[in-house]
Amino acid sequence: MKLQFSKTNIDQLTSSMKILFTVFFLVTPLFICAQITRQDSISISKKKHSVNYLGFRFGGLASSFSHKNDLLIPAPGKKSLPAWHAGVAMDLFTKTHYNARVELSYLNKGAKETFTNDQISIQSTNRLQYLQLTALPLIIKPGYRKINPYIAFGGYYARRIGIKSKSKTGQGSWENDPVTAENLNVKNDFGYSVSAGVYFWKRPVFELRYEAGLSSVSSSSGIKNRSVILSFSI
Amino acid sequence: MKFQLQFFIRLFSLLLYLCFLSGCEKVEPLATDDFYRFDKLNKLTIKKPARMDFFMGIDNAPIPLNVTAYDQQGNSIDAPQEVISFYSNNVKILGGTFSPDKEGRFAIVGKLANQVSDTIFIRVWDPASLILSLSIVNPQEVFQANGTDTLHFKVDVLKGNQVVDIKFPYNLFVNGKEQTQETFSATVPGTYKFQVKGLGLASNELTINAIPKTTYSVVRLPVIFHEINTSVLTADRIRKLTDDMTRAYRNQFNYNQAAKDPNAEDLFVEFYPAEIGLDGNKLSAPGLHRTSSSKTSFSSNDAFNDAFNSFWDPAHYLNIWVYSNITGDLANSSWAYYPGVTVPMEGFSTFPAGTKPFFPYGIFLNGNHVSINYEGGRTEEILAHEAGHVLGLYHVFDGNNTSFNSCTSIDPDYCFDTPYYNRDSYATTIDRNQRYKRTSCAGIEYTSTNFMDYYYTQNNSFTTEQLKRVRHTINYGLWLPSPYNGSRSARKNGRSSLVERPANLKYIEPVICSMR
Repeated sequence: MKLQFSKTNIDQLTSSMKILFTVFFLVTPLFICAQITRQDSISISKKKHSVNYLGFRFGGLASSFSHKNDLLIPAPGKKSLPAWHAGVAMDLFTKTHYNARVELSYLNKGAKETFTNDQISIQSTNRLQYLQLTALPLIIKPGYRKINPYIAFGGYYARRIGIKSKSKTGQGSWENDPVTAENLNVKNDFGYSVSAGVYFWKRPVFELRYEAGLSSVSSSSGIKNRSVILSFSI
Repeated sequence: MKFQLQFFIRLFSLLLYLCFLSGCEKVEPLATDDFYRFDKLNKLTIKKPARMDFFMGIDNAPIPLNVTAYDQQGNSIDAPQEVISFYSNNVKILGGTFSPDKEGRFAIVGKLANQVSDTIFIRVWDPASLILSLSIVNPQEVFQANGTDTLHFKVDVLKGNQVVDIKFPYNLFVNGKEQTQETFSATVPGTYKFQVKGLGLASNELTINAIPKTTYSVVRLPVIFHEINTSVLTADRIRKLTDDMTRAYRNQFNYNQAAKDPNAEDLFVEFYPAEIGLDGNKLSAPGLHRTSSSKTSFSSNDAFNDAFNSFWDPAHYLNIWVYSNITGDLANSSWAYYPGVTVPMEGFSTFPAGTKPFFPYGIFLNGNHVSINYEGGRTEEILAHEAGHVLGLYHVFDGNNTSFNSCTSIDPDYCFDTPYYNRDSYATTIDRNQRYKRTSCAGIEYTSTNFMDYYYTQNNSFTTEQLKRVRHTINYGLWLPSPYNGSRSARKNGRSSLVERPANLKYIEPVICSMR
C-alpha cells in the first residue's frame, strides 16, 4: 500500500501530537508520582514545608511570533530566536503540595523569520528586550522531600525596554531595519504561562516553561510572543 | 531515594524530549506581503517607462517595472522590487519585467501588502498591422530653393483607417538619402522625393518641386539730406554715405570682413544722392539741402514739427533730416519712422492708397552722428539701420533707445530667421571679448551680424525674411520714392514740392536708436 501525506493530514497529525504531548506532559508526572508513592505514606506524619525559596534564575529560551493566535511552540533551532533571561524569584505560601511564586526578570523575546515569495526571500530578526514580572499563583507538587516535581500556571506582564530589528535579503548582509522596529510599536505585553519543573530540596533547580502572549507586539499586525523558556535556579 | 532519582531523570528526559519535539512542528512559510516593514504601507506608485508604445519583433527586451512604496507621511519605504507582484490585465507577471510579445493594451499594476499601485498602460503593436503616412504640415504653393523656405513633415501611423498616436523612431529620406533633420529646405532647384522609414515600414512618397530663388528688380532711392543750422556734409561725403548704404542693401557691406548670416540676402535696393531739387533744377551738391531754423536746439517733438519746413515730397525723395543740439532722451540718438502700407504686413498699420503724409516719414540723423567712425556707431551703419526702419524692419530685439523688454513669445521683428535676445541682459553683462556673441531667447548662442541689431554687431547682413518685408514695403509702401508711388530711378528732371503740414499735426513717437 502506498502511503500519501497531504497537508491536511500533516496538520491533523500535528494537532493530535500537540494534544497527546499536552496530556502526556500534564498526566505523566502525576502518574509516575502515583507509582512511586508508598501505600502508607498518608499515615506518615506531615513535615512542614514552610520555607519560601528566594533565589536567582537564569537560562535560555527559544522565542517566536505567532501570526494566527495559535499555540506555536518555538524550539531551539533555525525556526526560532535563541535568547537568554535572568532574574530573581521568590516562592510564596509554600505548603506541601502547593505554593505560589513571583519573578522579576530581564529577558529577550522576538523571532527569527523568513518571508518569501516566488522571487525573493527576506530574513528578519527582531529581538525585543523586556523587563518582565511573572506571577505563578498555582504551583502543584506531590510533596516529596528531596526531589519534588511540579507544574505551575500563571501569567506575566512585560514592559519592553528595547528592540533591535535586522533584515537580510537573499545572499546580502544583515542590515538594521528601523522601519520594522518602528512598526513593532507596542511596548506592553502580557500573557499566560505553563511550567513544569523540579524542586530539589525546596529549590526549583530546573524548569521548562511555555509562555504565550495575549497582546500583539504591533498595533498594525496581530503578532504575539511565544516562548519556551528553560531555567535554572540557584 | 532510588525511585526519586529515577523519576527525576525520567522527568528531565521527558521535558527535554518535549522541548525538542516541539521543534518538529511545521511552520507555515510567511509571505513577503506580511513582512513587518510593510505594515504601514500607504501608497505604491509605479514608474512610467520612458515610452509606452512597444513593437513586436523590434522591442524584444523585457521592460523593467519599478514601484516605489510610501508610508502615510509620504516617506518612501525600502522595498526590494522582488517583493512587488506585478499584474498585467489582472494576470500575474512572472518576474519584475513585462515582455511585449503579443499585441494589445496592457494595464500594469504592482501590488504589495494589500496596496495596489496606480496603473500604467503599455501598448504593444504588431508593425505588420500598421501603415506609415507622410504629409507636409505647411504645404506651400511655391517652394523656393532659397535656403529658407522650409518644409515641416508629419508622420501619422494608421491602423486600418484610424490614426493612432504612437511615438516611434523613424528616418526621413530625401531622394533615397537619409536626412538628419525632420525639416527640409533646398538651395538647389529641382524635384525632391520624400519618404519616411521606420519599424521596418516605408511611408507613401511625396514629391516637391523646388523652384529657383526669386530675384527682384533693383529699386534706387534718391536721398536728400536736410542740414538744419549746420553745414558739415559735403557732396562727396553724401556720395560716400549713400554708396555704403547701397553696399549694405546689396549684401556687399562688411566692414569687419566677418562671417555673414547664412541667410544673408541682397535686398536689391540702392541709394543715391538726389540730383534734382524741388524746382526741377540740378542740385549744386547732389543729395544736400541746407536750411535754417529759428530754434537752436531740438527735442524730438521740435524736430517732428520743424521737419515739415523741409519735408520734400517723399514720393520723390528719401528725406534725411540732420539736426544738431538734440535735447532730452534723444540727445545721443538718431531715429526714423516706420512706413504706412496699403497691403497688410505684420506690425504695421494699413492705409488707403493716396493717404497724405501726416508725420515726417524719413530719417532723423543726429548731428553728433554725421561724422563718426568707431565700432558700434559708424555713420553709414546708422543710416543703413535707420533706412531699414523706413523700409519696414524692426529691431531684432524687443525695444528701442534704452528701453528693452525681456524675451517674449512673439518674435519682435516678425522675421523667424533673425534670432532675438534679451537686450537688457546683454547690455548689463556685456563682455568686451565676447561683444559680438548673443544668446537667443531660445538659448542658442550666435554671432550678431544683422544691421537691425544694436552695438556690437558685425553689421553685414539682412536676412531672407527681412528681404520679404523690405520688398513688401517697396511694393506697397506709401510715401516712398518707389515705382509703386510713380517714382522712377535716377529722375533727371521735373518739379516737386514740399509736403503740406497737416492742420492738426500730432506728434508721433518714432523708432529711436541709441548709439554707444
